[in-house]
Amino acid sequence: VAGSWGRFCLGDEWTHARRTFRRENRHGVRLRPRYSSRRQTTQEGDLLRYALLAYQNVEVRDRRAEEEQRRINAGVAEVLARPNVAGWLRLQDFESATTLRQEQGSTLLTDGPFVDSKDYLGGFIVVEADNLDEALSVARELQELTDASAIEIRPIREEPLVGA
Amino acid sequence: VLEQVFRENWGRVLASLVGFLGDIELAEDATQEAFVVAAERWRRDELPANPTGWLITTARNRAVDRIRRDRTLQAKTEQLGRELRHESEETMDDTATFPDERLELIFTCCHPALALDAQVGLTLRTLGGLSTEDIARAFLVPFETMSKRLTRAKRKIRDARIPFAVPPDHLLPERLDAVLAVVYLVFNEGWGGGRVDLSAEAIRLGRSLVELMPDEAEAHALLALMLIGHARSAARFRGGELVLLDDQDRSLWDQRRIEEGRQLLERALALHGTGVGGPYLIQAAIADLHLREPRNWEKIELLYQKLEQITGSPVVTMNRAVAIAELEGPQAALALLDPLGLDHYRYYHSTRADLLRRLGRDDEARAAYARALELTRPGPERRFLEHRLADL
Repeated sequence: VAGSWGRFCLGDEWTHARRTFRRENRHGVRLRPRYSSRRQTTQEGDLLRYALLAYQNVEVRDRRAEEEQRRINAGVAEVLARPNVAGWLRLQDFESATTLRQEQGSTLLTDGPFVDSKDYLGGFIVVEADNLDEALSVARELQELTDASAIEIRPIREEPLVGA
Repeated sequence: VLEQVFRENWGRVLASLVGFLGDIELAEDATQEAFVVAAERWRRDELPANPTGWLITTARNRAVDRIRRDRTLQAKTEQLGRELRHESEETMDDTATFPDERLELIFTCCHPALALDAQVGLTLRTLGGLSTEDIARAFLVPFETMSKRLTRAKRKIRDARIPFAVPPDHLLPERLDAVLAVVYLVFNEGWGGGRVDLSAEAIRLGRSLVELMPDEAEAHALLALMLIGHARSAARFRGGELVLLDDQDRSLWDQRRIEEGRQLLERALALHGTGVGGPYLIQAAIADLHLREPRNWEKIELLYQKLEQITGSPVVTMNRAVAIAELEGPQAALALLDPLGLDHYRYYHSTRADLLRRLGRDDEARAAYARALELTRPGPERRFLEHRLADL
C-alpha cells in the first residue's frame, strides 16, 4: 500500500548549483549524489530533501563529560556517513554568534544569537527521504543519540528562485 | 436518495483522487466537479450500476482536463500529466473497480505532524464530506479561521510530503492511536455540546474504521464505546435540559444501538485476546457496565484502575474517584481528587462540587460550581450547573 506523492523535476540550475557547492565545500560539509545505490533499485518517485535543524541546550552541553561527548560524536558520525545524508554543518558555539537585526527602521549589530534562549541551533543535517515519516525516523534517532532539546524538520525548497 | 449516495461516496472518491493526483486541493476540486455532473445527470437518468466507479472515473477525467488546460499545473505535475493522458484516452468504464484508499487518507489527515484541530477539521472535511462552513459552525470558530486552517494543513501535507499510506508496522500502534483519538474527539465534541450531528458523524467515521481495519480490536472498541454512549442521546436531554444517567427514562434508550455496541465489544474482546485491553476496550466495557442495573461499582472501579495504569491520565483518576465515591463515600473520593492538578478541566470542578455538595460543605461546593461555570460554554451543561448552584 506504500505510496509516495508530490513529484517535481529539478531544473538544470539546481544541478549546477549543487556541483558548485560541492566543489567549494569545506570540512564539515559533505554532499553525496542525490540518489544512493539503495534508492536506485527501488521504483519510488523522487526523493525529497529535508533539513533537520538540531537545537542543543546550553546546560546539558556544559554538564556533559568529555567521554560522554566522544561517545555521542561517534554515534553521530555513523549517522552522517549514511548514504541518505546529503550534507551537514556544525555551528560554532552560540557564544561566537553576532546578529544583525532590524529595529525601528535601522539596522543594529548585537552580540549573541538572534533568539536569546537556553536552547541554541547547534547545526543541521540534510537528509534525502521518500516522505516526512522517513525524515522523522532519522530525526528521532539523532534526538535519542544526542539528547538534543529539539530537532526541527523542514522540507527543502528545491525549485529555482523565481526571478533569479 | 442522491444525497445519501453522495454522502456514502464522497470519502471513497476523494481518497482515490488524492492517491491518483497526490494533492488534496486538486483532488477536492475534481471530486466536487464530478459530484456536480452526477447531480445533474442522475436527477434525469438512472443511477449507473457502479456509482462509485462512475464518480471516480469522471473525477479523474475532470482532473486530467484541468491539468491539460492549466499550464502551471501541468509544469508542477509534469510526470503526472504524462500518466494522466493515458488514463483519459481509455474509454470510460464505470464498472472498473478501484481500491478503497480511505484508510491511507485517514492516516494522512491524522498525521501527528499536523496540529490536532487541523487533523480533526481535515478528517471531517475529506472523509466525512462536511463543508468547511459546517465544520466551522460545529467548532464555533469563524469560517475564515477554519478555511485557513484547512488550507494550511493541505499545503503542509503537500510540501512536507506527509505520506499517503498506511504506516509500517513499527509506526502503526502510535499512528492508529492518533486516528482513533481524532474520531473520539469529534464524538466528545458532539456529546459535550449536545450536538448529535457531530456524534453521528464520529460514528460514521468509526464504522469506516471498523470496515477498513477488521482486525483491530481498538477500532471495534471505539465504535462500541460511541454507540453505547450515543444510544442514550435521546434520554440525555428533557426539554433541552441535561438529565443525569440515574434519572434518565430508560425506555428512550436505543436498544438496537446498545445491542450493536455490545456485539462490537464482544468482537473487540475476541480480537484482543488475553491480557489488559487497550484504552478504548476498557472504556467501552465501562460504558456497558454503566447501563446495567444494578450498577457494579466494584467492577467499574477496577476497570478505571486498569485504564489509569495504561494511560497515566489524571482524568481517568478523576473518573475512578466517582466510582470510589459510590463504594467508600464522597470523602475518600475527594482525597483522590485533590492532588490531581486539573484546574483547567471543567468536569474536574463539577465533580468536586458534587462531592462537596454531598458532604454538606456548601461554601466550598459553591466555589467549585462557580469555577466549573467559568469553564463551560453556554448550553445544557452550563444550565445544569447553574441549577445545581442555585439549589445550594
